[in-house]
Amino acid sequence: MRIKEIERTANISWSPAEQYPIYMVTGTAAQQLDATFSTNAALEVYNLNLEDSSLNMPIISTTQSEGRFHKVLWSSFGMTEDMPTGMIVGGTDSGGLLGYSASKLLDGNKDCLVLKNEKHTGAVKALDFNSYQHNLLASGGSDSEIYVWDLNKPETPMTPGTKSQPPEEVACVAWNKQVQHIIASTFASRCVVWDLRKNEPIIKVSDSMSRIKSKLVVWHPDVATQMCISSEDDHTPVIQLWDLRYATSPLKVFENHTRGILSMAWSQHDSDLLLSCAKDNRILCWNPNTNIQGGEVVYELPTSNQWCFDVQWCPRNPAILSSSSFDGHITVYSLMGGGHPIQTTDKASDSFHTTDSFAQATMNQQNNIMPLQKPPKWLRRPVGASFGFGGKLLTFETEKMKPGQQSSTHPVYLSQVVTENDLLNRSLQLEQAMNNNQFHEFCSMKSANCTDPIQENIWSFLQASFEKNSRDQFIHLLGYDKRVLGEKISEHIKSDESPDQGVDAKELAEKMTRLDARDSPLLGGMMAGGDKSPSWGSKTPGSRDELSGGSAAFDDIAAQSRIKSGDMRPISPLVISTDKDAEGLLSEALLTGNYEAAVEMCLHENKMAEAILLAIAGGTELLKKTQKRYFEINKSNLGRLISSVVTHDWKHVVRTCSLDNWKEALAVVLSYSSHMEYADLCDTLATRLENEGEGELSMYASLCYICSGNVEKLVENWYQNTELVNTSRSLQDLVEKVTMLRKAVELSRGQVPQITTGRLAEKLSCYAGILAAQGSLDTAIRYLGSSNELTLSVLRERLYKAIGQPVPGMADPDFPFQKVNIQSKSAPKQPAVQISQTAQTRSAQKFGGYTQPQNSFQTVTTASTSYSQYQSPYAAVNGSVPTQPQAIYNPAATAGPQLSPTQISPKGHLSHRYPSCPAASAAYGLEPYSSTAQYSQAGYNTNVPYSQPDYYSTYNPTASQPVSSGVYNPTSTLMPGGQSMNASSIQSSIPSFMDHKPTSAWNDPPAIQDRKPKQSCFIQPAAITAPVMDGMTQQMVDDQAPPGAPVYSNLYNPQEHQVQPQTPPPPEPVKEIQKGPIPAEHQILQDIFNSLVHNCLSAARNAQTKRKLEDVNRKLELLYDRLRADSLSQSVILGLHQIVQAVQQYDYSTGLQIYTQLVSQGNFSEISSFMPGLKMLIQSAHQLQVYVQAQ
Amino acid sequence: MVSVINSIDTAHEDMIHDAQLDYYGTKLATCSSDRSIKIFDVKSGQQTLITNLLGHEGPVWQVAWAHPMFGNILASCGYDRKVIIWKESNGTWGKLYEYSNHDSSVNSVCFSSHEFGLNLACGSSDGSISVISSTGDGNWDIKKINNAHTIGCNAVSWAPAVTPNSLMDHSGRPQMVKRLVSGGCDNLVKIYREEDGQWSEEQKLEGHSDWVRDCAWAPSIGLPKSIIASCSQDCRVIIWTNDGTSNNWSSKVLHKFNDVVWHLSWSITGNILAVSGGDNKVSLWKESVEGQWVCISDVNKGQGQVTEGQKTS
Repeated sequence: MRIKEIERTANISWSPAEQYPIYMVTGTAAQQLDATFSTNAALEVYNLNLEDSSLNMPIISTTQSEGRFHKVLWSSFGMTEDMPTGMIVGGTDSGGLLGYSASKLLDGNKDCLVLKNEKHTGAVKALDFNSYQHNLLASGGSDSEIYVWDLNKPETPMTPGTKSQPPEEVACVAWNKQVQHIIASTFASRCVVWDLRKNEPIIKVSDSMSRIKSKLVVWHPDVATQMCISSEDDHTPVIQLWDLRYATSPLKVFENHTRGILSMAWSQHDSDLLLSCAKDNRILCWNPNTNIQGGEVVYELPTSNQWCFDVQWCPRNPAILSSSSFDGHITVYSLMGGGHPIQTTDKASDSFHTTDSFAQATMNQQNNIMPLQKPPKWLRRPVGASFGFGGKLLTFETEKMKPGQQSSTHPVYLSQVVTENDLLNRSLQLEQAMNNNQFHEFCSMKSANCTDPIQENIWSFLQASFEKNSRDQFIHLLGYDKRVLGEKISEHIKSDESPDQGVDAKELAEKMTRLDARDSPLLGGMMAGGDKSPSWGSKTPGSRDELSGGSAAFDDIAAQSRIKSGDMRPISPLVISTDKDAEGLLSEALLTGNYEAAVEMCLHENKMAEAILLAIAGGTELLKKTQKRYFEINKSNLGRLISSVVTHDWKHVVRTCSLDNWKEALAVVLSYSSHMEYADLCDTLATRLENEGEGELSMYASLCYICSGNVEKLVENWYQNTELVNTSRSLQDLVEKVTMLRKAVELSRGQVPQITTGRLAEKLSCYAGILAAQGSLDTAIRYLGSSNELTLSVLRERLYKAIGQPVPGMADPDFPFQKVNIQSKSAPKQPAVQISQTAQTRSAQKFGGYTQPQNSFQTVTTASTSYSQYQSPYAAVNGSVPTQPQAIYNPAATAGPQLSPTQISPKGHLSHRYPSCPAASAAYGLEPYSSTAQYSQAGYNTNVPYSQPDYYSTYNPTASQPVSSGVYNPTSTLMPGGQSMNASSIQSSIPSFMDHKPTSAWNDPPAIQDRKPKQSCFIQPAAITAPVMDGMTQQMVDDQAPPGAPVYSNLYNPQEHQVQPQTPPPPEPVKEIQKGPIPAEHQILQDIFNSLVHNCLSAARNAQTKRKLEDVNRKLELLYDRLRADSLSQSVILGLHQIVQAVQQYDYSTGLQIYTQLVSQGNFSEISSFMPGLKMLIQSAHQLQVYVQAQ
Repeated sequence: MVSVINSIDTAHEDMIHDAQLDYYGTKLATCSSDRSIKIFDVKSGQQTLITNLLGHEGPVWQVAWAHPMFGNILASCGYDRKVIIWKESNGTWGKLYEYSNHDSSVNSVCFSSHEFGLNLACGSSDGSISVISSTGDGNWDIKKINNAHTIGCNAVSWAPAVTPNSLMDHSGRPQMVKRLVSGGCDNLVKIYREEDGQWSEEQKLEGHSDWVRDCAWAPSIGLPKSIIASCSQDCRVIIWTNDGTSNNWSSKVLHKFNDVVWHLSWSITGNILAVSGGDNKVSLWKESVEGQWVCISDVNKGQGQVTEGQKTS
């Protein structure tokens, strides 16, 4: 494939492989003149510019040179920081050796000539750089002169040895590709190979059998001792492959050229590719390594009818080669295709403007021959690695063939990739702990290994939750130890002790202990320790009975301390006041037994202790009242706490406590709250911590959740407080906690908390996903639970199948996707179910797709959302779907009314595109009746029967026309179930010919049409329906139709639509009666073509061209009509758009190429009416050099 | 840590060019220069040849498995310019569809995410990319991107179904934009996007200085970020990222290797990249928390030798 072209008669060189971007340097060729007879000489640099798909290679730099060139070479010599692009050397006519700094040349620096040497006599035609030491350049002139230059000191060249006799012009020098001190040179009659170390010729190669005029020598890229010599002689136009180990005669001779060979090039990327060009105008590519007699030509480049005097491989891009021809063209080809077609210079045949598209097509076919029978080495991927599910990695490589090995084996290795060793180990530990019921041990191990105090706490709490008396454990963990508390209190009292106020601290402490023994809930709870009597431990504190006992205990204390204090003070006589003051009144009240009044007085006098004492004596009623009053007055924190304790109002505590006191609040809850409210209280506190607290406080909420066993909330809290929620490490942390807590809850409540939805499920699936990715499939599947959430079901099913054997305790999971049965196009006989389905389709098509109710049989597998999505692409091309309509594909079918939501997987949008056959057939028997009932269309039921035989009766070809109008009940077009389906989109998604010919009940048997290849379906209507359609379709097939005739509007039968008043009218046909606008997306076609015609007309000078263009205009009008009628297949439309694109880029050759493609692939009757016009137009534009601007 | 758990002797008679596991990882498909495709059952350590698919007339370059919702479907492409879609029905594998509308070697095939339906992208040396979509009834819809890469497309890869933009779509319905990335002999990585049924070039990523050999769009991991890896004849692997808020792609050279990099593969979870080079070396790379790409393992010669290194790029 031709990809670039430069119009120069020049010797060229590609930039070295190291250079990027790829450049080409051209030096005006010596001994060749172009039509201008100019004798100027220049060195020019072009950019290959592959990014641009046009033929243009922009010129980067140019400099005038002193002489014309026989040979130009671009080497990577001196590729350093300051000269990154290397050096260009050229050999001139006059024996000059010119060296240019490529960097300077590219910069446009006039001083780019850095080396000038005229040591050679005669023209310098041979040049080569050593591929190992880039500073070594070999050159050859006339008179057998060969010099080896060290470009670092170019003053003193070396000679490889004494001059070879007889003196002849040196045609070529070439360094060996493997051994760096070997150089070959050719003279007309022989080839001499030199060893620079020995400074002498080591072998003279000449064939005594045939007389060749050797021109070029190239070394084998891989085999050091092999080289090819080409003969310029027209009588022996051969290439000889020599092996210097057996240098008596050539190893192989490649014979195919018919005249002398001018140039050769051996691909450095694939030694199976050797290019040669000869005076027979051909460029051949050989595989020199096969043993086929006469050589194997693997490819022949389609070339122009001119000699090429040079071929070269691009060193950097292995698929690119260049040729230089005597007609002044440098052409760049790609071996693999992807460029422009080779322009056949067969101008004569072209000038006939063959409108015979088929002749063109066959020509094109020839151009499209496969470049190489065997792929070049650089296409053959030698190695690869690809991942599979479960952290599996496939690797393969090409093993080097060992000597003597007949054939190498080709294994593929399946490996397990583990990147989360830590996670796997921890997961294993957890698994073991779970299996062995070592919950305590696991938790204590975790907490012991924690560095973060909060985490440690969490683990301690988790561990505690496995204890029988977990609440006491929690309190203990909160830092309340009854022994410690007792000691603390006694210490406190000691230090505070005042001489005149004495509660014996020691005694108090004793009492506390005693209280504890008496199950006092308050202090007992507060002081709960690790070592408690079983009876104590088993009791749940907080019941009301105990509480009243508790207050009694208080009384005790109070009484005793009074007694004590009484004991300690000197006894004084009891004096009862009888004054009228407060004390007197109080005494009076006391004396009269009026407790209430007395309490009232005490309260009033702020004698709280007295008031309480009296109230106790006055009975429970009074006590309660007094307590209440007391708490009302005493708003201190302690008072509130006591208040809550006494009134059992734990909610108050958790709701109002300062968050810094969360521990205390939790302790209270743990101590007192009933079984019923316990969990709620914990959660309430936790929620407060989360919502109001910051930082650590919020994390403490997780402790509350552990106490309450609220797994979901624990996860939520973790989520809020963990930064990297999706790292395997944090997930593992979470999973460990959750697993333990669930187990604890399971043990204490006897049931496992269900994981249903939400965060936990998500995280567990995430975790399972990570485990799966590490190959731990068995473990992963256990974390998935039984949730029906889609992602989980998908993963579960995948894991299950990947494990490949039944998982204990797990049922075979359902396939979580909607199965789609992709049918083969050429399936000969469909099973019965499918036949009926097809039949259904036929009837649907018959009505132009307006018969929704029928399609209810598919509703089970369809979703309206998927409908619009799926159809959108087709809407865009306005119904010109190139494919054959089928039931499954029928939009009306897809828009089935009754959706069963459970069937719709949220992700599987397009899964609904293809309802699977079994599902459809199952539904088929059931659904239709329910949905038809909805419509209660008698006519519908009778005319669109569900039994198979009836389908065929509907299909009876003789019944052709009446079927659609007679049977079809207009009202049934109402969208079922109020489906808000866009009617026009239904239209557009139905293939065009269906739109326009509702009478397509003209019926070919379904089976036949099913097998119709895509292209044929577009003529088929015309061909078959002609008789039925009263000759109207004649116009469609007639490519001589009068210009501008709205072909399809004629086909459109308005009566059909009158019979179907409620049918959404197809938009196109209605519009085009007035020859409406071309669909917007195709407007560009008209715009571009018309302006191109216009521009051509204004540029055209002779009347013949103008007439031709007018004809073009007429033909284009036919095209526009087709566009309006929307009667072109998608491939044609696509092609037209591509042509327009090409036209806009002035790339007429591509335009013509696409044209040819279209004509060769397209349907004749579909496009023959206008395509010739298009070709004429493009050709005219090309000839007239007329362009049209992109709009 | 990489450990060989199964070594499958494919009995291919020439170079293997691709090997792919199916959705479950229980079936292995290989293709080779010997023109054949082989499918093995590799469930729990076994290696049983299921079938040997013959139909290509030249080396088979790549194979791709379709999502199981479409049944057992495998696509292959080769030097013979053909794309063949194979299907198993009732235990027998056979041709489902043959596509031969490329003018040169078809180098790469890739199935789209199943949410889009059954779509196959094919990249060819003729420079074009074809998107073949099943209509479900035996018909196939073809869209062609011409001149995608001058002188040849070497690799195609689909974007995952959930594109970053879907997060910004407030319509409630996930926005399903079909995108694909391709790499070619023009040294470019290009992103194509389908809009109204037409494919158009959305981005041209320039960074490689030689043929792009492979490119792979990373699976979505639920973040709005898009990641593409590309590798090239220039021995480099480039990671291209898009943050999902703009159309800008930033590039980062993962590493410059000592030889041509031929192939890339993302792990299913999208966090590990396997890089295969011409020196027969496979290395695994992972992005560290700091955003550095780190070589986590060299898979040497597939012989089970494992080196754990912490080379940073």
